[in-house]
Amino acid sequence: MNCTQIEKLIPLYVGEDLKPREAGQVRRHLESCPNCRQLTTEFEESRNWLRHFATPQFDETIFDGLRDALHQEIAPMQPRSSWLPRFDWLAPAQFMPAWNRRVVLAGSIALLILVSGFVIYLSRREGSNQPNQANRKMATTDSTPGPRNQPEKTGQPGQDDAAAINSRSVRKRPIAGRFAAKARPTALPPVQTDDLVSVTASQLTDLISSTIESPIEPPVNNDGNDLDVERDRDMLRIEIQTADPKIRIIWFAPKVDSSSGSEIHMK
Amino acid sequence: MPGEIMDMALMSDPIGPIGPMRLDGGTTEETAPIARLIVRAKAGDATAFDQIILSHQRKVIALAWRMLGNQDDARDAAQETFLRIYRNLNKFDPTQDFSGWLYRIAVNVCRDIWRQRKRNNQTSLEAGVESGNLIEPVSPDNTESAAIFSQEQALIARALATLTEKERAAIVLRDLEGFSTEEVAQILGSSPTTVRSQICSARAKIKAFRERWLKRSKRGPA
Repeated sequence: MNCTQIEKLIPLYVGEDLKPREAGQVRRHLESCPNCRQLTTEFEESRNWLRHFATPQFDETIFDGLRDALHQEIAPMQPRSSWLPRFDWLAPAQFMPAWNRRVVLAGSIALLILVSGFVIYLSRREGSNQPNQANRKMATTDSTPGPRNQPEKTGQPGQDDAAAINSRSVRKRPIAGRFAAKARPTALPPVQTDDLVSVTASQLTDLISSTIESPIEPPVNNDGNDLDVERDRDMLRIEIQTADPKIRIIWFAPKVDSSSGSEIHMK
Repeated sequence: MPGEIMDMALMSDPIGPIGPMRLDGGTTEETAPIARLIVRAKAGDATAFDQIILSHQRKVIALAWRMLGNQDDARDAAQETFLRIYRNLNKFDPTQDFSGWLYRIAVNVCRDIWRQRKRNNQTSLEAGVESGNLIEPVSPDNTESAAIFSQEQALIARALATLTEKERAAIVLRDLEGFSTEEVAQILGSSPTTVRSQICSARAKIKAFRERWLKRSKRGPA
C-alpha cells in the first residue's frame, strides 16, 4: 500500500475500526513512513480532543420535569389491558415471545376443558350405571322369593346396614329425585311433620330386613280374592330406592280424596 | 461499557429491525427485570413504565444532548423517545434487547429534531453556541479553568455541528457513547461498511476543524 491508500485508512486505524488484516498493513507502513506517522498522531489528538466532550450533569429537576411531562402525555392514552401478564407463571415472558405465549395459554386452556369434560363424562357414566345395576338386582330379588331375597351381606344387620343407610343418607339428591319420580303421578299434598313416624336408622334397617326376609303375603278378602286391586285403589304406594341397591323403602299410605282437603298420613 | 454482542437473533421492532446486541453490556439475567417491567407496562401499569423511564432517562438525555447540543432539545428528544416507546410497547418483544431498541428510537428522534431545526436554518448546536446555552458541564472549581473548559466544550460542539446528520450520529455513537462499529450500524440501520465510511469522514472533518481553530488561535484571539 502506498501513502495515499494508507491516509484513507488512518482515521479508522486510530479508532481501531479496521479489520485485523488492514490494521496490520497500516501498522507496517507506519513503521517506515514518518509522514503517515505524523498524520496518525494528529488524528489521535483530534479524537482524544473530541472525547473530552463531556456530558453535563443535569439537574434533577430536568428529570422530574421529563417524567411529569411524560405522565401527562401518557395519561389520556387508554391503558392497554392485557390478560397475558396474569399468566406469566405459566408462560414466562422472558422465555418466549408474545405470540408463543398466547399459543401456550390457548393450548393449556383447551387441554383443561378437554380433561374436565372427560372427567365429567366419566363421573356421569358411572352415576348412570349404578342405578341401572341396582334396579336390575332389585328386580331379580323381587321376582325370586325365598332365601335369595335375603341380603347377601352377613353380620349384624343392625350395624352394617344402618351404617350404610347413614352413609347413604348424606346423598340426599338421588333419593329425593327417585322419590319425586315415584310420587309425581299422584301429586302429593304437603305432608305434616307431626304425622311422620320417627325411627332410628337401626330400627329402620331392622324393619326393612324383616320385611325382606318375610315378604308380605298378598292380602285376600273373605272371598279369597286378591286384594291388590283394592289396595292399589285405596292405598298410595311410595317406593324409595336407597343408594344401597339391596334396600328399598316402601310406604303405604291411604289415598285421600283431594277434594276433602285432608292430609296424607304416612306410616 | 457498552459493546458486547450477546446473540445474533434479530428482533422485531416498529421502528425497524435492530440487532440483538446488549448495548448496556447486560446479560440475559440482568435484562430479565426490564423484561418483566415491559410486560407490566404493556398491561398498562404506569408504575412499571415509570421504572423504565427512571432506569434509562440519563442515557437518553445524554445521547440527545450530544446529538443536539442543547438541553431543551435534549429534554424534548428524551420525552419524544419515551412516548414512542410507550406507543410501540405492544410491538416490542420483551425477550429481545431493550437498550438497542431504545437507542435506535432515540437516534431517530434526534435526527427528526435535527432536520426540523435545519429547516428553520439553525441547528441546535449552532443555536446553543450562539445563545451560550450549550454547555452545562461538570465545571472545575477554578473559575479560569472552568472558562477554558467551557470554551473547549463549545468548540467541540461547533466541530460536531459541521458534520452531516449521519456522520454526527455515527461519530457520537462510536466515539462518545462507545459502541462498536457493528453496534452503531445496527442502531442506525445501515451496514458496518457505511458506518466506517461515515466515521472516517467525520474524524477527518473534526481534525480539520480543530486545525483551523489552532491556527487561528496562534494568530490571535478567535
